[in-house]
Amino acid sequence: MSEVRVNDLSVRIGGQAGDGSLTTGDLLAKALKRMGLWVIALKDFPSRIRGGHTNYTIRAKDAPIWGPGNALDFLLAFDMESVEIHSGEIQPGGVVIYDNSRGEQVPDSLHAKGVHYLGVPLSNIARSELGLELMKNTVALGVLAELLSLDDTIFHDILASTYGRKGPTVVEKNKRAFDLGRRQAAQAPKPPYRITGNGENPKRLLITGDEAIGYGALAAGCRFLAAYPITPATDILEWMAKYLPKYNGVVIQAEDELAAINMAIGAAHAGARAMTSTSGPGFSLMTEAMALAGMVEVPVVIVDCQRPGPSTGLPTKTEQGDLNHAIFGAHGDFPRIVLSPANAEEAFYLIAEAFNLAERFQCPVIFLTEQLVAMSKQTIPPLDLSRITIDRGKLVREPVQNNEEWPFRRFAITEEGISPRPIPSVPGGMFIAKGSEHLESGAYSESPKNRTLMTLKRMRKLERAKEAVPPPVLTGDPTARVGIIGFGGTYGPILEAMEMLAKEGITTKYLRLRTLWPFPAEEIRRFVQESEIVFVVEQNATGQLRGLVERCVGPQEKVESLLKFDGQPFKPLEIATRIDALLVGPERVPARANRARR
Amino acid sequence: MATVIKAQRNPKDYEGLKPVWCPGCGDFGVLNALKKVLADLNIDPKDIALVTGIGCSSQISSFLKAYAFHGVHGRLLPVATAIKLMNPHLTVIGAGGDGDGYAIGLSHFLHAVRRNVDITYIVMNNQVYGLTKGQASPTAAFGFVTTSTPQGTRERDVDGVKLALAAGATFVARGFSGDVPQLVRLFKEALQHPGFALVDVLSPCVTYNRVNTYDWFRENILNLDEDPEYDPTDRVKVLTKIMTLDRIPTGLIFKDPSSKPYSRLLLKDPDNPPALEELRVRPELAELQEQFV
Ligand SMILES: Cc1ncc(C[n+]2csc(CCOP(=O)(O)OP(=O)(O)O)c2C)c(N)n1
Ligand code: SF4
Repeated sequence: MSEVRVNDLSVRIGGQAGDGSLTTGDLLAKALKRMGLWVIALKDFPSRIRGGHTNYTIRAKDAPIWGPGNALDFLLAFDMESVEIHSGEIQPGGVVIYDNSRGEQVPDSLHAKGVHYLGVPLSNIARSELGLELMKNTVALGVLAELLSLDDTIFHDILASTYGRKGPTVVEKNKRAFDLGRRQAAQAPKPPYRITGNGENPKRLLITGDEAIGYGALAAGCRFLAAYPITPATDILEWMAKYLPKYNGVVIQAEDELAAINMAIGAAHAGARAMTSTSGPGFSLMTEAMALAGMVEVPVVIVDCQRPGPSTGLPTKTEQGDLNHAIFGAHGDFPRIVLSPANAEEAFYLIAEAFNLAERFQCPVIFLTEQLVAMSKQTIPPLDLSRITIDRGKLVREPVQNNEEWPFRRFAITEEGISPRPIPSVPGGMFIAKGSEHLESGAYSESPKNRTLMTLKRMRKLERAKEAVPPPVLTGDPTARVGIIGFGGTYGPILEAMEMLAKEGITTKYLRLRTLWPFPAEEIRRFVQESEIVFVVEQNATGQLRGLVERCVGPQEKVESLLKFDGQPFKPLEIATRIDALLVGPERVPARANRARR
Repeated sequence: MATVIKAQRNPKDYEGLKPVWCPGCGDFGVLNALKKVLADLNIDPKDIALVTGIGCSSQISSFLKAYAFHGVHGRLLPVATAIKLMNPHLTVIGAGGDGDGYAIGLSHFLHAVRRNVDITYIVMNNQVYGLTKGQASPTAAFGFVTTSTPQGTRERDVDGVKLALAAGATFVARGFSGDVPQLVRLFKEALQHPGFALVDVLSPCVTYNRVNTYDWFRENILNLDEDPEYDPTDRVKVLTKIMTLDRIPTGLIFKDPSSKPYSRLLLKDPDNPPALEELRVRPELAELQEQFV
């Protein structure tokens, strides 16, 4: 008999798209969160609306979590396809709850050791007792609650608040469905799990990265968003479309991403804080205008929620393959800043900082995130708006002295490369925002000398930005021999892998890059130097981050790539195993270092 | 006796950098008419946002004194749209070539029409790509011979006026650089129109277009402004008429008197432009967290 797992649970709900697994998952996630657990709800859905296998994984723990676990404990399968696909991931002690309304049975070939299979006629009950097949979701929730001995009250509350809008009859029906489910499972053996919560009911939030980005942008004073729908960025557009207009802001669903970014540039030029949000295909369309923003020194924030490319790739899955594009994409040399958040909580604060950096350095800021962070619902502490500051840099809103001079020297060559930026309607500030090479006034110029000076002026801003951007975060034992470098959503899996390794006696340290450009070369150099082996963990096929690391430290044997590019987020175990495999001897030292010593 | 109010400004107040167009280029007519209209309407240069694309014509943003934005090829309308929304107090003018507007930027053109964003859009239409030295533009007539179409174009020409009308434009006009007084009238109406106003200007390229010359246009134009019977407010009649003409119509072609501007529809408080807002972190926004609890 496996030991009892306390407050550590992964439930996968599988079925056909349109089956309602998202609703069930959300209800479960909310309930577990209210019990005081940290929850993450991971969407893995097909790129179509109805039909096709879809699954939703709800993971809960008594500590913060930001990615999938290593194995599943429960599978709620609305069809046999789900059992086929996922039962291999259930760990001993776990339970597969499947709908056997039409006499379905799990074939022996699928039976895993130590896993219990519980057939419940979910749709039959829903249809005959409640008159609506979709109620099978709530019945299933009842089954699960019974198996885990979870209290009714929280579920009843959540059903009431979720379905309250549809009237008391719907609420009552759902409560009945839930109770029917409980009764179905009353006789089943109780699996070795205990959810105690932590007794408190903290006001934590359950929020996606997309929502956090929209919210953080609004809090930072963003008043304009133009975007074209694209998974996994659409939720930013939809969230902002709901809230921005209330604060005298504007959201435009543009005709394409070329329009979207040019609109954002126009809005920023006018003096508002402006943003556009997209994913790889749209980001590719935006590159020409990104260079324009670099040239006319307009502060625009571009959110790229990455999904696997190239081309349409896997629209609903996760990857970190746009890194090189974000840093090097577009023609010509111009300064830009690239930031990447670890999770929804950081996304909120970091997007606010993105606006400050854009305005301080008058350049495009690319906010690089990925499907895992953008679309998973994550449990985060309440957000503290007082941590947000607004710094508009050298924005000029007062009449300019000596306003006879025209055009105003908007692109004045300064020591730090940053010039005063009047907005239209400011007396004396008229200038030409010119996408061609220009003089300080914005007037066109082909002078080789001016060209050189202007290019250097613009690039100097990046030197200044280096001191202003969020530095990397070092976690773990600074003296560890084994180092890990990563960015974005690999954060959660890496932290958990480090814990796993620590249990094996392997201490590690982890440098997480929040700013990817300007690249934190100094910190990287020091980190690599002070490690015997360094794993660069990233979700792409070619090791794009590793390439950047090598630009700083040169090709080094001790720098290893740890890659994943199958569309699925890293599991902690995958990282831990691959690190472990390269460590040898009782001291668990890097194989190469060992070889060198010998 | 009516008091004559002397215009407080004159065209010189809008003088920008010295134009670098070829002598005789039609775009001079547009520039001169524009300066006159802005003076007549007494618009402070600082309150004008002039947005242009890429092409000879788009260089106009340097030749007129205003807040100028000279962006990339074909995308001036998205830029201009957003400027207007973020600061409706501004007079926003978009200007560019026929390649800029009807080739690379065609989709933005139709969407700007749909949005009825309150800006004036001037297309300097010369049937060629001037800046890249004379290739055919989408308004070139079928069979038009250029360096990129040595056998003559094999595509039918695009007519921005008809497109705009079909797409539901609320103000459509066409002028001719050879008739500056008419251009002045058209620009004036366009700038005062509460919605998207297209002024397509037949603006000869004297260097690369030896067919559509000033004289050619004079012979092929039909000035609807001179027709007292013409009713520019009935879209169907207007379309029928211009679809069956064998000449190029100019003048005020269509105007919808009930036009409602986009900025008024979109902004909660259009009198307080977002662009001018004194930004601060609003503590009350913390309440939005409730939806995630
Ligand atoms: C994306 C892009 N493609 C091509 C060009 C090259 N280009 C510059 S101007 C121009 C055409 C200009 O023609 P039009 O808009 O009719 O303006 P005109 O010069 O005739 O006034 C082209 C193709 C460019 N600048 N950008
Ligand atoms: S090439 Fe043609 S369009 Fe360009 S400036 Fe000369 S005449 Fe005008």
